Amino acid sequence: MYNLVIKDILVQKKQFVFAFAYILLIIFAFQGLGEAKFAAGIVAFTYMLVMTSCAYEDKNKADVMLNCLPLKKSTIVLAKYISVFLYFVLGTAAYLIFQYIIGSMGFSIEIYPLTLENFVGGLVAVSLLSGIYLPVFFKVGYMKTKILNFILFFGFFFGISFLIGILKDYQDGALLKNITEFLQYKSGAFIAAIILALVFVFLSISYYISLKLYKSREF
Amino acid sequence: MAPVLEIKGLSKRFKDFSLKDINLSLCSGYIMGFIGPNGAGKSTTIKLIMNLIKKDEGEIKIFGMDNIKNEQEVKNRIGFVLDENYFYEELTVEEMRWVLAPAYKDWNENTFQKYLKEFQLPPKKKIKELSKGMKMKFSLAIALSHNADLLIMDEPTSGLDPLVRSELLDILSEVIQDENKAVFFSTHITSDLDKIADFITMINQGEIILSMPKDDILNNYGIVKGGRELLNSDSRNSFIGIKENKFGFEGLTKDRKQAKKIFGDKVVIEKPTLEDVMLYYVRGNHNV
Repeated sequence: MYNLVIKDILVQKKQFVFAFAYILLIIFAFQGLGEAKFAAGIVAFTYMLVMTSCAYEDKNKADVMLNCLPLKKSTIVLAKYISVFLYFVLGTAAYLIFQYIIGSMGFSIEIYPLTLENFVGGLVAVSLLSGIYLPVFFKVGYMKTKILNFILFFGFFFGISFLIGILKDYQDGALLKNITEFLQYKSGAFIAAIILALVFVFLSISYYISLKLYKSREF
Repeated sequence: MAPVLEIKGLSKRFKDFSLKDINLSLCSGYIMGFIGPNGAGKSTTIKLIMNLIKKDEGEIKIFGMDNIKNEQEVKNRIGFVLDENYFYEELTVEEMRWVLAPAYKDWNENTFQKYLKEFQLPPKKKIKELSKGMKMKFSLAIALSHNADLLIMDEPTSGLDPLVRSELLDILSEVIQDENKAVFFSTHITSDLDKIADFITMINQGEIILSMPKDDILNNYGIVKGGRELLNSDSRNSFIGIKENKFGFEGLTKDRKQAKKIFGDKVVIEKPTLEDVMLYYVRGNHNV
């Protein structure tokens, strides 16, 4: 499986340079984003790389070749999900390193240290986007997912603020109140663990749907 | 000896095309040429063998095992060369090898390096910078580097110059010296098979028209040439296909000895090429 993950990096070496530059740009240019800089940066970074790797699969009609190899379809699908988290880790590392370098060079920009909240927020966002996108990609390939891709990416940013607005309106609702009260006295780490567990369940469901759809596909 | 590749009653239906009741069998030590015009069903059959598309009916056994139930085991022992490049064009030859080699249990790096040298494939060159011939050679190098017992090749010579085609055929002749290996070679360039094939399976419009030893075809089939006055309804029926013009006729018969008996010295009977056989079968009586 690791060869497929490495392949996803090798095919888009140039895109990686661009993606790292984007993280740098986020740190420098989007001061107004404040602490949300990390989430904004990592979501775009990861999504960009996932999309590009999927585009190269389509461009090279690689599914034909991959399915002629003695590889299980589950390996091919799982490799894509693992790639997503590898990009996430690489993007986070790049963000931390760039922050550190910029901080020690004494540029007059605000440095926002990476908090657990932001890290989990970024991970949730990346997981949601990829978990929705990948099953569709495994069903129809990259070319037919272009519109979905666009809707997902922009819908995500606008959708989040829309959702926050709704939640604010209903913050006095019984369910929200109960959840808030339940979480109020829990530690950050506990809440993060619950969120990560939910993300894991969501991704597992997404993976099984992807696999089912990929198994039914013809090349 | 159990066949390396055995297909029984294989069918697949599409909206505008159907593969109907395909049966064939290939044993170790032999090369089978799978011929037919474009769109006849060659690639569809190969895709079904490789489980790239799903069959509607039938059975495909490779090394005596079901090609789907034992998919990984079977594919470990298959070397494939496809009709076009399906490698990642952005990768170099060396990088592509990194991706492919770990997929095989029996990858032999020495063999791969030997073929890289023999085929003069530059390891640092990107796949997209390779010529069509070089891409095919790279594909062949991969196919031959994991101790495959069955080579499946889908139109590997299409679009290649005669020199590279001849090189490929020489390599296949060399490969088949190992009697444990078999080659299933689809092509519409029948001259490729004149030199190397042991068996010919011909497909047209999704149906197998013939599947037999090449020498039986070349020794028994004949092109009969004579005057049109020799043709009557009975003699017409003895031909697979007939071409007529105002000077006379040419027809393909399955049995040239029988034709000699029927027509005697009034006709000229020639040994056909595989191309002749394919053309007569495909076009029947319509202006071969």
